[in-house]
Amino acid sequence: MVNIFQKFKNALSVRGRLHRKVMIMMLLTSVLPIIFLGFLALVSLNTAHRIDVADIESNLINQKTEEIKTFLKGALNMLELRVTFPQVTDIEIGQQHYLLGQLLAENTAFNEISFVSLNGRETSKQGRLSLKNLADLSRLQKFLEAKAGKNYISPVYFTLSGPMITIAAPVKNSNNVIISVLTAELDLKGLEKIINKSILGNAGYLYLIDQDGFLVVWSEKNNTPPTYAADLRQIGFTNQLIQGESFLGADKQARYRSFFGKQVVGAGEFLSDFNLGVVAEWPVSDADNIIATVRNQIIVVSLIVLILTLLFSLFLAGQIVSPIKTLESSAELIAAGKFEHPVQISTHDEIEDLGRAFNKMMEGLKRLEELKNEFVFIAAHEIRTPVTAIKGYISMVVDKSAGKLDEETSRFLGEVKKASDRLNNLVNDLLQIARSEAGRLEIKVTPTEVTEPVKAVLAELKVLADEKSISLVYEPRALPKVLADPARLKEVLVNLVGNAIKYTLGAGAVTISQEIIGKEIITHVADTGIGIPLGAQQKLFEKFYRVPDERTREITGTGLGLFIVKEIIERMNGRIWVESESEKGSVFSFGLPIVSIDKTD
Amino acid sequence: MKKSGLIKVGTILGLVFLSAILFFIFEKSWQDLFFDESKPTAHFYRDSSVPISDINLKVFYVVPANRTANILSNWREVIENNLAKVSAFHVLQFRGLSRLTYDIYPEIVILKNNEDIYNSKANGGTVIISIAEELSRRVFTPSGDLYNADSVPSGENKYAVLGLVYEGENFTVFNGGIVKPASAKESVHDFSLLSGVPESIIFKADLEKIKGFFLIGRDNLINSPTAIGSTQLYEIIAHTFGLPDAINSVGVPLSDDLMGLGRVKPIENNYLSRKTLKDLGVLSDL
Repeated sequence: MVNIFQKFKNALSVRGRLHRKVMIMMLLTSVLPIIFLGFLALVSLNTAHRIDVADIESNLINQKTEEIKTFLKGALNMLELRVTFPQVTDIEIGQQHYLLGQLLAENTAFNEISFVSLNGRETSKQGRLSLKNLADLSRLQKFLEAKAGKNYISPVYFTLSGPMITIAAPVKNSNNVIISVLTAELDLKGLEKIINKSILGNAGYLYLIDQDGFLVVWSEKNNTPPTYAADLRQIGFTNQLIQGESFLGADKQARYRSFFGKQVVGAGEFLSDFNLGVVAEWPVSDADNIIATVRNQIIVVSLIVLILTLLFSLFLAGQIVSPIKTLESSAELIAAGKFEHPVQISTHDEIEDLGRAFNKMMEGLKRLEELKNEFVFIAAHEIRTPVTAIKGYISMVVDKSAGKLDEETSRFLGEVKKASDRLNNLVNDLLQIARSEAGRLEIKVTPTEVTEPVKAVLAELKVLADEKSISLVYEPRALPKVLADPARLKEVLVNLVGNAIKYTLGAGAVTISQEIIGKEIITHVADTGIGIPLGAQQKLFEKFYRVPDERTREITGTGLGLFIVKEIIERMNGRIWVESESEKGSVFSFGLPIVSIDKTD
Repeated sequence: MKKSGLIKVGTILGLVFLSAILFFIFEKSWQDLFFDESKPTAHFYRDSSVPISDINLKVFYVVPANRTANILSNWREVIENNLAKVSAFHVLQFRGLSRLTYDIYPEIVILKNNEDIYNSKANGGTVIISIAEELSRRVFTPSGDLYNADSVPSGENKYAVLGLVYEGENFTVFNGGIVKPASAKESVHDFSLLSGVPESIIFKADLEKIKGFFLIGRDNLINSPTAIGSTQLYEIIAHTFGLPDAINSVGVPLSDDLMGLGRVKPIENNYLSRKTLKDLGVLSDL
């Protein structure tokens, strides 16, 4: 478990361009589809829900429309009397009263009802209120239309008793000839029962509006009782509805703040034959209750999946890039000549195979390096004996031990001696490097004074310095011993002071100073020479590297000295570095560990 | 924060932002909100320049000098009951676009003359003018013996109407209409031609700040055989904002509503027709 967690943590910590590329690619191929699908799911869900809500409301409105039509047509049908006699004359007054009484008893919605003769005069009248006057209706629309044989339905009007309509129908004889007219006032409160019997979710309700957009009848489910004739013209789709536009179906349903103060989903239908509009309003909070829950779940799940995908993308990108980074690090080690660190990749795929191939390649390179070192060691070792002999004999000849030489021969032999010296140095350096790389460089670390080797080296190189008018400055001070090989330390100092003298063109000074920093004694070798460019400083301790400079072309050197110095210092558990500025000189510093009391003992 | 970290955070935020934008657009299209806040204004009959959204009745129980013995003990209750009904009827018919308030003068106003003086003018239709002018002098002017500052019509925004409930034996006249200044050059006929309001409901009288007035016998309010006192009361109140009768010259109703056939029905079963409401600005179109 801990391993997995560590693996995950490592994968997440990987950085780099490839990592970014892989992650972005994964995001593009996984997160975007998730977002798109999530969005599509929400759209589909909402669309389906919208259609469902519209269907429910439409079905309810259609059902109520039929009931309302039945109620109104039923009342109208009751007025369409047909008598059995063939004469074109009014029904006898007594019978009229009887019939009116029967009609009032049969339909409680009739508020007032009267027979009207064909001349427009009311012949009898009955109602629920005290009514006695018989009026002349000859100029009224209800009479004229019914007399013409048409059923009449007035616009809705509002009285203090409630909303009403006036209806009228012709009364015919047995020959289907109109003999009089029946008119009635119909109380629309009878429609309340129809509206109240509606079920629309938990909080949905219905109401009726008249031809002008005023409230006629409403459901008891409204917590805020309105008043008759409340003006709904400014609410929702009322204005379009009363002009005959249907608001049934998903395309037509609307969402708005209702007259009753709630945000609702509304649908409606206008019954132009009866001057009534049926409106269903379903509070959004109730209608969308289920969809809101599902929608929230989708959003939450999508977000979780999104976050997990993002994390997984990071992890996977890390997993892919991590072994590549490992290979990169190993390649850098190999480039530095270090073959002791085989790559550890266990991805169980082609990258692991690549890692194994890489390790094999590294072993091959290591073997080649060993062979090369062996070759260099043997070659240098074998060359050194004849070179030493050549050097000795040439020295004898130059020293005229073998007899006098003419001037030209002496000059030629002088050049041969210089070349021989350079060759000898090169062979010695190569041999030392070969020893070092073959692990044969012997360094015996012991508690060593650091001032004496400096003094000895300065004394040794004073002649060289004097030749170039370079002063050697050193002020020895009491310092603890360091852990070092005295001979190798001297070799290091010879190399560094020698270089300082060598690369100080003309007169100058080479200053050696020492200080204690932490648990080290740092020795600084500062010169007033030509300095080293910043770019060259980084390569200065590499094999065969020489700073390219026209002024030092004539100065002999193998480019191995500082590499050897660095090898020796590091083998003595020390460190070396350089600080330099072009034309202002260089300071080579190395630190060696101070001998602790335990080690001294 | 490193560059790669910023890219990751930016990508996540971008995706979340994109999702939010898409969702917002979707939700916006889902919400079809549409409101029209404009409302019509109730106005004088066929004249939209005279608003009647706030009608205030100044009502007086006026008793001829010789009729003090017949004063109704519950006169205020009778008047108030009828006014309450017509007020409710008015608000309902005007769909809340106009209200009808009333102030009943707290005292009985005993007129200067006996009833025969006023009644003798009844047939000429001037009884209302003579009583109204007397009342105006006595109640509305500071020098009047019944002056009451609270009773003086003051509100510029209110449509002030003077109402007179007349105590008279067998007095069943009820009349009302709009008031034009007595000093005006135009005749009643001219005013009728200008406004389209019938001459029968235009009166010239010296009544400041009064837009219309009406007079009704108290018998109409308490002894009506078919309980149509309130209907009659509203009918004459309707005249004060220009509404004409909907009957022809021989009394045949031209409409079913209160101004026509409805005048013989109780106010509880009455209404104003859509045509009338359109002329009063309540309905914009039919």
